[in-house]
Amino acid sequence: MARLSVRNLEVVLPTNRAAFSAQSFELGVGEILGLLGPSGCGKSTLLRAVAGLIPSTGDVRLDGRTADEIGWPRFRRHVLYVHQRPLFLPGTVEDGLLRVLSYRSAREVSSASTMETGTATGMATETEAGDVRLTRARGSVPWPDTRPRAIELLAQVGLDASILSRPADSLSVGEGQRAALVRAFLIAPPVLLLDEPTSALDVGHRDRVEALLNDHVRHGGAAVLVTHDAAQAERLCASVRSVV
Amino acid sequence: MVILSVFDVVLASGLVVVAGLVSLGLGLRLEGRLGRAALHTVVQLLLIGHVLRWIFSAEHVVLIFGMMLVMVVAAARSAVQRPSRTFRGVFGHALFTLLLTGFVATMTVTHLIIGVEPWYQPRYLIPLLGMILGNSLTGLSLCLDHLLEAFDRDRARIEMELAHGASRWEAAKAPMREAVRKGLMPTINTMTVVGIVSLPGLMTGQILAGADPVVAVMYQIVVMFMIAATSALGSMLICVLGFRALFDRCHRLRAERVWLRV
Repeated sequence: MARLSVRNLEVVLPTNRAAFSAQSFELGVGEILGLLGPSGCGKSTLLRAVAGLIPSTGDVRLDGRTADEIGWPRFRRHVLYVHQRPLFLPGTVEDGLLRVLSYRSAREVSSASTMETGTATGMATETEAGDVRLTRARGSVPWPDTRPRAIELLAQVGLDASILSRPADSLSVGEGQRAALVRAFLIAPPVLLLDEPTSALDVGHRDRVEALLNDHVRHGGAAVLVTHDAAQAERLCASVRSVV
Repeated sequence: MVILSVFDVVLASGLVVVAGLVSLGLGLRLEGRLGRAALHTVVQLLLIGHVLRWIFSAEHVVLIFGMMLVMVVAAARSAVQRPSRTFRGVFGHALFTLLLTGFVATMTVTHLIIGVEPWYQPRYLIPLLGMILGNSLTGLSLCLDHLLEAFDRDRARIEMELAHGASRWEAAKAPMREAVRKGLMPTINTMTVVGIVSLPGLMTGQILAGADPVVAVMYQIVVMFMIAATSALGSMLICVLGFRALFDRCHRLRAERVWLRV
């Protein structure tokens, strides 16, 4: 069974125009699907629709179950959309990380992951020992235990641990983009929906992010990647779709 | 109490002329609006004076509650017209909020605290409700204004929280809490300075009517506490109703339902 299945997904804009032509695709475990297309063709809207952040018609399933069956917050915890423009809550970067680990859905995922194996919530069962920390970090483990993993991820994308104490609004776009990705990888969702995640990064930092993404899919994750960079799609993606 | 004649009121109108002269002197061009506002004051107050005299003498439950309903509708209308943003159904929310909090608070004070007999005595019910509504609608409109601005301005941040698995309640909690705080501030500020900077209308009226100042103060304390309770409950209720209207069952913020008032 596909991890993520999308059938006839459509979004109608307020102007009564379709945001993109109806989309159907499947995403397996360990796969990255690339979405290419010109600016304004609806790639970001498609990702937001898959995450259920905007009204749409069609069918989106995670491991054969709809968001209604899973519960919307928990579904989004598993099919996590990362905005192209890094967004943070007021406060420090650390406050922002703590916040996303404190949601009720994080606690549900944490307890469910110990009970449900073989489903999206049981990603930890498919990962190596090192990644079990990720699952445990989803709310049940206090921040002091999760912090080392956050610092490790920050280092992997070329950010120093001191960034944790900086106000989120003081970050540059590039720093913010990487910090937002760290926040997503800390949650370690089964499916990542990445909206041009390296658009503000130089080649060196882009390579680090790509390595992290490869690591994520190697350990049982999957991702849909919106990119303008055909070479990047070729490097990372098992398959590529054009959105029109 | 000294009874004012029509001549006395005409004499007092000279004070409005002073305000008009200030406008003329500074070139504010507010003379026309000032004149019309003064006319509104005279006509509206004379009208309500006669209506109240009629209702007080009739002491009929239907008339009293009809009058109270008119007051609540007018307050709800005013509360939703002040915020810079709005959404479909906001008037119904304000009406429900003011009806519930206004009537519950008024009944609590007249029935349980003052012990008015009969319970529907208009001399108590109507002025007390008026004071509650006058203060609540300010809090309510400030609260609504902040809430709608936050939902509209911070839609991307809220969507980010939802995308990371926040429930709609978790994503909306911070702006809702801040909106309730904004709604309560005028009441708290008034309570802090009452008796020092300002002598409230109820107290002043009672003192002018010959009541013992300490008795007037007791009434005023009850009224201030009543206003605090209704402002808090009203702000909270309007926030919850707004939240339910602007987030759908799929835990999505429907920011497109909010629009700027033109």
